[in-house]
Amino acid sequence: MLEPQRGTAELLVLGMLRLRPMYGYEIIRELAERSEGYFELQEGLLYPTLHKLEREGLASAEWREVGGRRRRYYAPTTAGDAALKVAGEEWSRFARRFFDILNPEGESSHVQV
Amino acid sequence: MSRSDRQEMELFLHRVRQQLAILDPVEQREILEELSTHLEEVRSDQSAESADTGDNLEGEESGLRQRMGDPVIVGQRIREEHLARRLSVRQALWTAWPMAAAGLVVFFLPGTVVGLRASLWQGRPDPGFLLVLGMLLTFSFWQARRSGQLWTAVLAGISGMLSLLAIHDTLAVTSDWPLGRLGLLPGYIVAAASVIGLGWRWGSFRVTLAVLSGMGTYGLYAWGGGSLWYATLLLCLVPLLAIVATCLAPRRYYAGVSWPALLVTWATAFFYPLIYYPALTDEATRWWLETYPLTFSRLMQMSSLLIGVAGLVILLAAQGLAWGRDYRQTQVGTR
Repeated sequence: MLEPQRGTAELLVLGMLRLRPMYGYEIIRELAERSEGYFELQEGLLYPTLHKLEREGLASAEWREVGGRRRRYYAPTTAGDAALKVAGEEWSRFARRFFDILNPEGESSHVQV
Repeated sequence: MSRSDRQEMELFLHRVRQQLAILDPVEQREILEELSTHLEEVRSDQSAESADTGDNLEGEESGLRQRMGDPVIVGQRIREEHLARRLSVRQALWTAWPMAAAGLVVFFLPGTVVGLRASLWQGRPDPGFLLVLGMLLTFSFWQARRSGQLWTAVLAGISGMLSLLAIHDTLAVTSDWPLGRLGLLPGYIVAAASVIGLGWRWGSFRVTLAVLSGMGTYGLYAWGGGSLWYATLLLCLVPLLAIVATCLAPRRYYAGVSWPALLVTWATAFFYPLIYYPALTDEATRWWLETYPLTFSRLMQMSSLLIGVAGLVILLAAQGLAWGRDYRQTQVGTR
């Protein structure tokens, strides 16, 4: 199980929010499900990450009442979508070059992000 | 949820809350509410899992803590992130002075600050103006630093001053009373609209309501001819309406401003013209003394001066306490 480091956590969270607006616990569950348990995001990292994204204008938040519970839903902003796109392209380039180094005989693994 | 689950959750939140004490009260409440909902769902899922597997999580050292981690660490990380959005003293000063300078330039626009210009031309210092300007800028700076919403706080403060002075000048034009009021009315409307708009947009709604209700009270009082009963009614009614309005406003539209600070701001906005006015011009002073009994005038002057001074002391003391608490928390965090 890999706990995402800071930096990648922001990208992972933004990636989740791109699917639909989500609240904190939903993000953790969805991330674990979609990564088949590979990414396990701790609450101590999730909430500072969400608040940081909000502060930087990459995500917005609003309270909603669902089933008698108030939850804070987060969604990416236009700037957040743009930042994710740029970061995704960068990760793709990084992964491609990384595997080129690991496989010098030319068996390159192209990673789609 | 069982009683022990509830107790465990409350203990967890209490430990987190201790780390967040330095933050704005509104921020704290929202963070803790968010975490509380999260904890309920985590516990609910754990209970469901334990029911499936037959495990008993009761009595273990917190299935919740195993899942969520150390609440002190969780609270510290959240606190660090929220402190990062605060402005440093240097940043607040650096960005506040252009707005303060712009406000002062606007003050000298023709038709808006007749009294101030007259006072300066005559070479008399205006302690009332300086006192209230100092109060509002201190308050604005304090709010800016706590919430990071610099432009809100500073512009609300400057706009509040403009509104006060526009009303004040309306009353100062005594030679041609109806035209004087009408001539300055656009300035008053623009200033009031700017206070409302800025406060609404950036979250200092309570501050702007306090300023508006104070100056509005004074404006209505003067417009109504200055009778004591009328003034008493307004003094009771307008702040009550302002308080009700702020209670009804959505929480996201105001920063965590304390009620004492708001009341002081309101009182200053109301009483300010009463100490400023006699220092204005000889003509205005004569008008004031002719309109109101001498004893009442002097009483209002003294009380407004005392309230203004008390307000400044309270605000500076509160800011000092806040800085002291920030410093102590920072020291704790670095151990």
